[in-house]
Amino acid sequence: MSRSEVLRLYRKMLKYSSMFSDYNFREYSLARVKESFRENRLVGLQKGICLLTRNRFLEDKEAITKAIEKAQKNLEMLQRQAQISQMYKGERLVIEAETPSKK
Amino acid sequence: MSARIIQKKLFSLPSFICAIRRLPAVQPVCSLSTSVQDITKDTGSPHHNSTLSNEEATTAAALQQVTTSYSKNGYALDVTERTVLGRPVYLDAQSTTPVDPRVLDAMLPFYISQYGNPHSRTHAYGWATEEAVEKARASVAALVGANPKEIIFTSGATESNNAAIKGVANFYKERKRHIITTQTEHKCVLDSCRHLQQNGFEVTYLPVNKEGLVNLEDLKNAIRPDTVLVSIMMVNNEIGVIQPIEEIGKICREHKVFFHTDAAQAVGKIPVDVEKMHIDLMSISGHKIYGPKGIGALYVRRKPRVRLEPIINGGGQERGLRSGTLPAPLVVGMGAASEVCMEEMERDYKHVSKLSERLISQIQSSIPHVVLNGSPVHRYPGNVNFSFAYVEGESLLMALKKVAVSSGSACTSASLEPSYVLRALGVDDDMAHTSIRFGLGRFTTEKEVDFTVELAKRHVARLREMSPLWEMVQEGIDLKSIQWTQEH
Repeated sequence: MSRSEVLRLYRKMLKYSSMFSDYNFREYSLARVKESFRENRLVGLQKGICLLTRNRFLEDKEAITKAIEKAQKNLEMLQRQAQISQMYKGERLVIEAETPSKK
Repeated sequence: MSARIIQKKLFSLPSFICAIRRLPAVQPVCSLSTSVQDITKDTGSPHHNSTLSNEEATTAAALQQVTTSYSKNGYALDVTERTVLGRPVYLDAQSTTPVDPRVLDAMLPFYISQYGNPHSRTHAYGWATEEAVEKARASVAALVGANPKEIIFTSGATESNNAAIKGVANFYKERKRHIITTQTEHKCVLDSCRHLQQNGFEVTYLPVNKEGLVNLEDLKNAIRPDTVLVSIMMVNNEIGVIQPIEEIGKICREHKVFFHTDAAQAVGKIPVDVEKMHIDLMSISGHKIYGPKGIGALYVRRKPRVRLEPIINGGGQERGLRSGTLPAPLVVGMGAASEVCMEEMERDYKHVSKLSERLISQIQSSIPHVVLNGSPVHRYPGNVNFSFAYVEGESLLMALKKVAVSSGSACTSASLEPSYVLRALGVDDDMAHTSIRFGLGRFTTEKEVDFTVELAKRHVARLREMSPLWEMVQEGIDLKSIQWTQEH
């Protein structure tokens, strides 16, 4: 998968994370997605700097595809759960802003 | 209506404070009203700075205090409390945790289309559900380092505790009649032991030191030839203290006594390994690890075999130890929660430790006369139990309405007596009454912790200003030297 596709996946995950109506889930999801993409960026970097032995290249590719598949599954989960969260909205927390989009 | 409740609470203070009012030296309550109003007028007002972001303005508004005016006799006149705009911030992770979205996602198919009974052997609905249940069992087993065959699903940690203690005791009751436990166990363990005492068993309740830890020498001396079971919880639900489980397990193994531990607060939060810790029986709770409520598990060792008499008889499900149809959605939810815990344990521990340090250091630096209950070293960081001296506990809890915290454990909060765990620690009754337990979890944020600290600071200061005891302490009077009763 190319770099721009991974970035697209990342942005999509952030978009659905911010759609959670619950403050705690929303904050956790955003922080967690950013953290895991930051941790896994080295997986991609290895691909770039690895030596040209075929085996090494394949290993890295496998690790990358595994990470991406996992992220894809998590994205689908986020899509479903964000929708459910919107359907069953609770009250806002006392520390949340009235209109979170306004700043 | 809320005003009257607050009034009632303020006037139902412990008797020793009422006794003070009779002493002529103490100022009457009405003259304190001016100082109260000063506080409420000044520090509570939000900034009128229009460049504050919307969020900051809301937080500042949420921190605004109750505005109360008092009559000459000290009765609260018009309590125009700002209605709490929104849900309180949740800081009670020991009583229960929210269901993680990943767990809910795994559970929903079993409420919608995969509704088969896992014990139905004859059709695809049953087979599919059974496969999912066994997968969940394997996840729970992997979380604690056990074999899937050693995990039995129950309705919660209370049922697991009952099944373990009563089951083992009743199976071996011909030859062994002694059980050892501690004074700080969960109510269900203590009540099961009391029930066994009524049926002819003897129970030793080991004391704890003032840090909440059990003494290993006491344990060794308490073990008798007819001891069948030792039950000691891993992480205490009220004070967060972690017992030396590995050493206790070793002692029990040496003396050939079964070792049961209530690990409801520990599993999924700190690493637990039943082999390393020599555990024979362990209770696990689903809703403490971000799973659904109504499900738990009991680990029963197979090598060397632990025999139990089941407390629920029926069709022989769960190795004959717990009959009944397994609630497939809940079981799958618990399995998913275990998997998520395994993945996130390190990250969660780091996150909770950071928040805990922040909370503890901020409270201890900004509020004087606060005591952290329990060992500061051997503890799970997500459980922070503070006692605020010279503050009335119920009033503080009522004042902290914008934060969901607990005083004592949820099981005992209906009664007015102070927590037995704190009493076992040797904490004085008045300090035990003012203890507040802050619970931090995976989903708690720094902003929530900061908000809690700020709110606690303001309300503790406000309540202390109203307390005659606090005045006396400020003047340097030693409260222990005062004669409260008049002698004739």
